[in-house]
Amino acid sequence: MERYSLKYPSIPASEDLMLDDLDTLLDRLKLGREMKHKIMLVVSEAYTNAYLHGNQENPATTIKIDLTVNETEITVDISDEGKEREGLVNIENKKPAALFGENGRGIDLMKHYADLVRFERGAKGGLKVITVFFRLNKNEVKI
Amino acid sequence: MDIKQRDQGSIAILDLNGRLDLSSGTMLKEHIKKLFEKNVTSIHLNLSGVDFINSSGLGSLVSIMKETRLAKGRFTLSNLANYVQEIFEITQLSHIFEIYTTEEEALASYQSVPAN
Repeated sequence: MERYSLKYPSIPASEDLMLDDLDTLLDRLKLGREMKHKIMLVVSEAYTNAYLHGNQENPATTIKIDLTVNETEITVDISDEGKEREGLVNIENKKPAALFGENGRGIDLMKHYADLVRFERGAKGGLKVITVFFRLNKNEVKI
Repeated sequence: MDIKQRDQGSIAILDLNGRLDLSSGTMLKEHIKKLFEKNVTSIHLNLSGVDFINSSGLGSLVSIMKETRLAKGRFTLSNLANYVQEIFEITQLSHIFEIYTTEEEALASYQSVPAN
């Protein structure tokens, strides 16, 4: 099992930095292009929610990303320090985003690309988004 | 993300390179707002250099598309990477955007389908 942890202040510049770091880390782990795209997108969506809705762009707060790599799955937890968003716990009941709407597609994409998405109360009272990506086998097909 | 503009007649062609996310989506909207101020409402985005898009980037494109419709202009997209195309299909946005395989096809369409 391998574990990695990334942490960023809730400032606009962190988004690009986080994606650069994640890109580099996933390349190093040699997970395959398809798996890399899925993880990048899902983490990006959870990160944006944490930044905008959880930490509400408060630069004094941070967003933490914990990645665990096993032979059978990859788990990525994204934690904020904001108010718990109770509504997100019931994502299965979420209606699809309006076609001409500018928001609301993030959770739909997370549910599509991650094999499991769960929301829990974080240790510091914020929200922890747990995402799991199952691997096909030890010799995962690289596309 | 990097934005480079080329003009062909009344059409502004924007080449986007990099990730289209929350911050770059805001930058793109600002760029297009300036085009509207110059009464340029025929806008084509060549997305061949976009290697990542998320829901914030999609939201920016929806916003631009709606503003362009209100301005009676046209907003076209081309050269989507397979991964980006897939996201447009999953979100059903492929039904409401004018998406062309190549830039040439998109620009040719401006001859047959002028702005409103």
